[in-house]
Amino acid sequence: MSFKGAVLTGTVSRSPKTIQEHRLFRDGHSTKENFLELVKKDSAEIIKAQKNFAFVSGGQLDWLDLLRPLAYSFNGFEKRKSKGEDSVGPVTRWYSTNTFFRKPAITEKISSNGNELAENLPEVEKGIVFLLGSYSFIRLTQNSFYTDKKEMVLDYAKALSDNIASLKEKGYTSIIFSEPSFGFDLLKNNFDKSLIVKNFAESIKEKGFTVGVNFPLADASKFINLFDDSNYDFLGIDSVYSDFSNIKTSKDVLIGAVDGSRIGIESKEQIKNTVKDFKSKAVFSGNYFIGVNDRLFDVPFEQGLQKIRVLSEVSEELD
Amino acid sequence: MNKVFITQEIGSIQRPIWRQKLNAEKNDVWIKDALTWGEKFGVEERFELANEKGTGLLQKNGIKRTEEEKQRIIDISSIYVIKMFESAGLDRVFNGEQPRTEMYDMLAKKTKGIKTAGFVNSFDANYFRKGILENKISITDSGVEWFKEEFDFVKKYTEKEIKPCLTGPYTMTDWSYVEFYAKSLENKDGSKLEAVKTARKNAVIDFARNVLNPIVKQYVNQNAKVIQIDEPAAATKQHEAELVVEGINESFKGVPRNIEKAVHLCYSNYSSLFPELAESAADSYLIECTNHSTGKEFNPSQIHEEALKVINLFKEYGMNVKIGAGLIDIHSDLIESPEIIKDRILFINNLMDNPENVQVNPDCGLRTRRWDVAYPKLVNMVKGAELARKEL
Repeated sequence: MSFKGAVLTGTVSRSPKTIQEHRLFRDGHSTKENFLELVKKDSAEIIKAQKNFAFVSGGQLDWLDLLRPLAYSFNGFEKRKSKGEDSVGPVTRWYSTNTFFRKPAITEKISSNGNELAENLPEVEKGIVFLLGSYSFIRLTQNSFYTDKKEMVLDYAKALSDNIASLKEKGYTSIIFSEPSFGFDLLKNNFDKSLIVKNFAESIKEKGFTVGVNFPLADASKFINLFDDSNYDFLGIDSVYSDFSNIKTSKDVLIGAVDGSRIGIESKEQIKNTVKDFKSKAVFSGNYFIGVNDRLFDVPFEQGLQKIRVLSEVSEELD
Repeated sequence: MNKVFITQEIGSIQRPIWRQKLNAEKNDVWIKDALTWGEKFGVEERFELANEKGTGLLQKNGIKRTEEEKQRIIDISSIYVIKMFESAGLDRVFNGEQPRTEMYDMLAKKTKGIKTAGFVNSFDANYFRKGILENKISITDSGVEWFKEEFDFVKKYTEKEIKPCLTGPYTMTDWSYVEFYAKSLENKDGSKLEAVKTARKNAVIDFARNVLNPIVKQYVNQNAKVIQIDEPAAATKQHEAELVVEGINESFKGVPRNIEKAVHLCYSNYSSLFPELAESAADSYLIECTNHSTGKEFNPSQIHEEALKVINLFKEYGMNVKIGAGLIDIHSDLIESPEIIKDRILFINNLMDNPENVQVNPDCGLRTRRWDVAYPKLVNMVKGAELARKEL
């Protein structure tokens, strides 16, 4: 039974300087290179703040959403012959938020040349990649090619696993899949457990990666048992939304003790209390990570950094 | 019969670089750009920006500009947009939100009880400065005055109908951290989650009654014929549809019947707002209909399924409302042809039965596009409406 470190679970906000440059680039008054140069600086700060983290991320600041880099580069996604960013699907609201993504269309078999992810990520020691989980992948894409959705997500997993070798060369050792559709579908009474593909992570794990899955804004007690015989190494529990008393799993967990949607910075005591509360109420393997319940995209860069730093500090005091 | 298929913009137009960078050094490219567009739109004030004597506002180093000179640049930027809209032929105009920093931030700045937290992203290079509700909120006296003066300024430069816009109470709440409203409830019985839900409700009502409604009433006093409330967040949380409608109704409370109460919605499942939306006081809904609809020829599939659903729901619930159909994509540089816009208008018109209930606009604010894209899009939109009128 042990504490395994802190982990981020999703993309992080950009700094005010980078935002200014991004806007100038959009308006035709700066270049993509200038924008990416500042992204690199922000990433360095984010990485520096993740002292004591089990896995480290640069925040994936240049990913405009979790699907677009894949839709641009993997085979199988429709690419329209239009200028700019609009070649891979309509602007679509990201669940119940004020953020948006482009909903890609799958028109052929999904596959990869093995380098696409590494090309879209910086070098990071003990790196972790944020990607969309299989259930949410089904929900957020338009598919006109596959008749079997399980086959579609296993091809998605295979394409990702083909990237493992090049990711390893850049220092990556882990992937965390985000499954925001669980919370959204539960709220809308639209949850479909037949869409869960338990062996989704198999081809990735076989290549030596640690694989986690996070369920932001969802009461994990309502479905966590469905993942006991899955291939995931750890399961992310949202501490704001979950009923700890009804959580029963034999897996390791990631306790999302920091709230990515609130501006207030959690104190070390608050985080420790959440962990204590979880340990006293939930049944699990005993091994746990701590982290943010969702991406750090809904708080500004500076507050995001502060939340990361407090996770780092409290990690020194947990066992 | 009144004019049918009236044309309008939603709200924002990209602020020119010389308006954005008020402290920047003299830049000849920006000056040339300002003069070119000024000439195109017939803006005489362009010579205040740059002239042969070299005494123009843009010909001065930004750091040496006085606050009055910077304000004049902002004012001239508004004049440019008013004239851009007139030049494109729009029936209703405003200022493209040139004096406003951004749709959330400007209203937040004029509201007591909000502290700025910092920038967060919404889509691609679009960001907004998110606020923290630290105290009970209400509009400042100078806030009402600011919106009054903004309206008066536009009135001075156009004979066209003015359509002012304000970010709605639900969206203002949804885009804020509701700390004050939540903290006051967290110590009471119930979970943190429940506290946030109640906090959101209380914040929406305060925004509607204490922030939006005083400005709306001011617009009524200024003889506005149409007032638009923007609620892009409206359909994000289905269980809060009643709250969305309550916010709209409280904001428009006291507005006489002869003034059009418009609501803008976008990029959402609008149908999730029903049946509650049937109780809304709004007279018109400006809705994104054509997101990502490329193609040279019209095809009904270019009209967003959710827009079709909402038109049917208007009928099903007996709502005699107008639709401001969003018929140009604001996320693409593609310039839609007048013909394709005409076909889209006629398609929507067939669904709505009464052409007087069909208005024409872009999907959303055009601030995402450069002027060399936004302007021809608007020109073609107006031409498309003219062609559609001829085919009635």
